[in-house]
Amino acid sequence: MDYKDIKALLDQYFEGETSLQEEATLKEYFSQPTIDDRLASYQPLFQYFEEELNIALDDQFDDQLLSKLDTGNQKAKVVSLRMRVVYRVAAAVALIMAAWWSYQSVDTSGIQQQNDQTAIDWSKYEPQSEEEAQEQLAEAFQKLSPKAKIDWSKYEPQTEEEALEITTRAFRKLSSEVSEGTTKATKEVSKVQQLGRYFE
Amino acid sequence: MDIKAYKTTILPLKNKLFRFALGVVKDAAEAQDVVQEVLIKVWDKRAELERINNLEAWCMRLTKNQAIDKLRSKHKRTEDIETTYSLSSSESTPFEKAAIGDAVDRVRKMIENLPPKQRQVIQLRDIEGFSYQEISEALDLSLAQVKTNLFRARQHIKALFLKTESYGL
Repeated sequence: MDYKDIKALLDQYFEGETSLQEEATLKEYFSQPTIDDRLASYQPLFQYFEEELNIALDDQFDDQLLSKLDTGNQKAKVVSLRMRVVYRVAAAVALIMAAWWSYQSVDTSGIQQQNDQTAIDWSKYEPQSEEEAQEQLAEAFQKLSPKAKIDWSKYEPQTEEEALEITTRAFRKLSSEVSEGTTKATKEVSKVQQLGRYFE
Repeated sequence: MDIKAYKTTILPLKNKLFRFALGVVKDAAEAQDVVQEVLIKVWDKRAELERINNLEAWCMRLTKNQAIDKLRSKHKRTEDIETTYSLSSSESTPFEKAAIGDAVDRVRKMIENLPPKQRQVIQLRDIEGFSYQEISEALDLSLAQVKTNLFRARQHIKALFLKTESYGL
């Protein structure tokens, strides 16, 4: 900015007609080491404004003040701290109780037993005759898909052994899938138990 | 407002408040006391702070009142001593004071000797960069009063500068 602009701003300044932005421009201009000689006499005014900003409280002020704030609110602080401890203890107790409950209520040895029992003695259900086997099989398939009209004769086993083998295989598959489900459940319960031990 | 918010929004105002208090009480230790008292008051009123429009101007207003109270109680204490011993008689006259020190010091004296309202408006505007509205809230003056005081203060300064130039002081 040249002399004319600054002089115009300075005149406005003394009339109280400058904006904060324009005042900042003046401060910036007068903070330069070399300025127009005709404006030099006003430099100390703006230097003074800048220098005043260096006046500050000492470093200990914050600590002194904050310690006084703490004393003034000690009661409130102690209560809140105490409450925080209470909440923590309550949460820990709740977790331990939950773990203990899950440990007690889920008897996994029972599940294991059931799991063993799913190895079914299929001989009990063995059909006594070819007709009986066919009948049972047709019935089972009819249950699975009651609406479909299937020509079961195509799948009819030709011998007794064949029929027995097919049926046994089918039930084995079913049995293994059921076992898989209980094994998974047992694993999950064991995990919860392990977790529960951490809280004991 | 919790202590964290207090540290980030209120505490950074401390030096502005200190400079303002210093302008009123003219003593660094007392100005520090004023700021501490004000900031404790702000903490105690933290529940009400949400309703305050401009925290900076509001804190400045508290500081002004606290500083004036401090000055009044100090005057009560020292009045008798000063009148009895005429402590001020040994000090330099404003004219002598102005001649001492460098140019910036002369400006300082010049502004310190302005009427209180003019000096406060100049301080908030030209040093702290407050808007007219903020000054109005901080000093409890109308906008028109703020502008009038600022105009008079600057005219005063201008006259003194012109005088200094002519007499080469």
